[in-house]
Amino acid sequence: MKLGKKKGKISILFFIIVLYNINSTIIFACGSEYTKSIENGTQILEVSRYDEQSWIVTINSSSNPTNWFRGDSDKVKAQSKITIYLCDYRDEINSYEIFKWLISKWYGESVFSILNNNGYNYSYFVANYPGYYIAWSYYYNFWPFGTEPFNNISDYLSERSYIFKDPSSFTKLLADYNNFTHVVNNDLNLIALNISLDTMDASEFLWRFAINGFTLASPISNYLAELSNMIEWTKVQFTENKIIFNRTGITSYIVEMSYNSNGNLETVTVKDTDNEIIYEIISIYPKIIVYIIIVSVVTSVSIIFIMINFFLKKKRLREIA
Amino acid sequence: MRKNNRNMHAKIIYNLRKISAIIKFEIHLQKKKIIYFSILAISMYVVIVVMPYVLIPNTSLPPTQYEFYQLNRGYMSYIYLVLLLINSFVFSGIINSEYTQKTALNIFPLVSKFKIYFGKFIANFLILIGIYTIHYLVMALFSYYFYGEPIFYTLIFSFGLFILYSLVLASITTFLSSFMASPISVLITIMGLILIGFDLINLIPTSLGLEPIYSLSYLDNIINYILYPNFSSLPRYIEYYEGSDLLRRWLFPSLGGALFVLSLYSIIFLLVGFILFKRRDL
Repeated sequence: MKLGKKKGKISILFFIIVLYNINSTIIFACGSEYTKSIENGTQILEVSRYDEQSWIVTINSSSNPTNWFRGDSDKVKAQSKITIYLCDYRDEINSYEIFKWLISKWYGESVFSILNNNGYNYSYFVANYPGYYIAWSYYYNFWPFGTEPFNNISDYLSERSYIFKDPSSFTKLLADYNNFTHVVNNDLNLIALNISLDTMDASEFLWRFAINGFTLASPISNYLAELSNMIEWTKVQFTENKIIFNRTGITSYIVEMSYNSNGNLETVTVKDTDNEIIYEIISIYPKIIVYIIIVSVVTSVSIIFIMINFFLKKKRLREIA
Repeated sequence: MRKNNRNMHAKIIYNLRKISAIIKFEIHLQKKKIIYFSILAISMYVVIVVMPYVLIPNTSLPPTQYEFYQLNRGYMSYIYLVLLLINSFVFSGIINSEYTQKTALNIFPLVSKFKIYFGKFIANFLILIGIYTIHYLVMALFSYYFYGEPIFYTLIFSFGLFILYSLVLASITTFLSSFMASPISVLITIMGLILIGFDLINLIPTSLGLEPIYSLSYLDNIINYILYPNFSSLPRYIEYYEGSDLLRRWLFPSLGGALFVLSLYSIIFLLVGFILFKRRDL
């Protein structure tokens, strides 16, 4: 009776504390054909293979993986880390925000700042590229590729990226971007400042996106299929979870980028025409390691518990006998 | 001389054996408590802290590990409440149960009160350390789950200070338990002190701008701040103007100050509790 009362008290206290502490904000995504399946948490990218000689003879003698992935991405075992911590519920992003993000990421923040000071500011973008891009934004901390252990605090805190809610936003942005490059490349002030932006076809535009972290909405197979049908791609192929770029350096080569079910880049494989791997990046997920630890601990505790019970029973039986 | 030394040696060993027998007995007596409270601590942590991030897709995660730990450590937050509950539950009946049940005295009738008092205290504190260790390990595991490597090494410092802080609370609870009649009254008093009492004491020096180094709710802040990798370079107070007056708000104590005051509190309350226990007839 006393024990029952005690248990009752403990259960009540437990639930009071549970109710007291649930202060998480619950935000629901708006209804759409595609949903964002991106998860909060950490993903580690690791360079698992790099054949420098093959890179030089196939891709370019004066370049290496750092031109694509920065940091120490030309070193085997180098790791990069990304911790996603917030997915914004907003799904309408104005052109200023998107251009600021795109140009800062591809050309550097200083280039966008110069553009801003030369009249290409918020009012300009909103007036010339009205409407919204339908996209979700998410925030992350980023550690670039390195061979040393990760620092406690990242050098790139609170970075932002976008997931286009619909692949049609990608084509809208491609058109707007190319239009803007014509404007910038014909601006005499900017020519004098040696500022220019690359005009790109769809394949090159997608390539730039992909190497800078292109995140897909879910279900990714449908998303990629729709993206595939939207434009006549000349140098890109799509499979269920992969974007395959057919590129040309010294000779032709293939870059396969596979995506996980959350829409994040999972592996990058660079192959020559003989299908030999020149360069490879793989993903490691700390949460999977934690699952393994939990399963191992639970299993070992259960085994120990069963064994103790077994021996105690045996001992009791022996005592009775 | 040598014989005297040998005798003294034997006496110390004999006494230590008696204390360890009490510790073993007390731990054996409380083994269910260890299991219950460990399960409670782990399950509450998982349900309250971890599950929302795992099960509710759009719940924002604290941006860094530091903030992730802070969520569980700030004033009146989850861990504080757990600390309060577990600490109070474990220690509230530690001494006054001897007046009513005479558990240890019945088993060890010839053992001095000193050995019973400290034996029981050490045993219960070891139980507490065990529960908190499990809790911190789970916290580190889930921090790895969300943030990967590296796990902040400062977590160990925070754990050390947390244990010291728990020692003070345990000493105060034991002190209350040594003169109060029932465990319930001890529980209510210690909860009242932590929820309201310590903060009320804090109000006077805060308004004067003095560092409230003696306040437990102020000392508790260091458990939070020490988690930050650049702890030593963090400002310990902020100054602000209210009208024309320059006011100072203290954020956390120095490490040396906190260690000194927490140790002092533990010793004082333990000794006073022992004196009260010794003078009282069982």
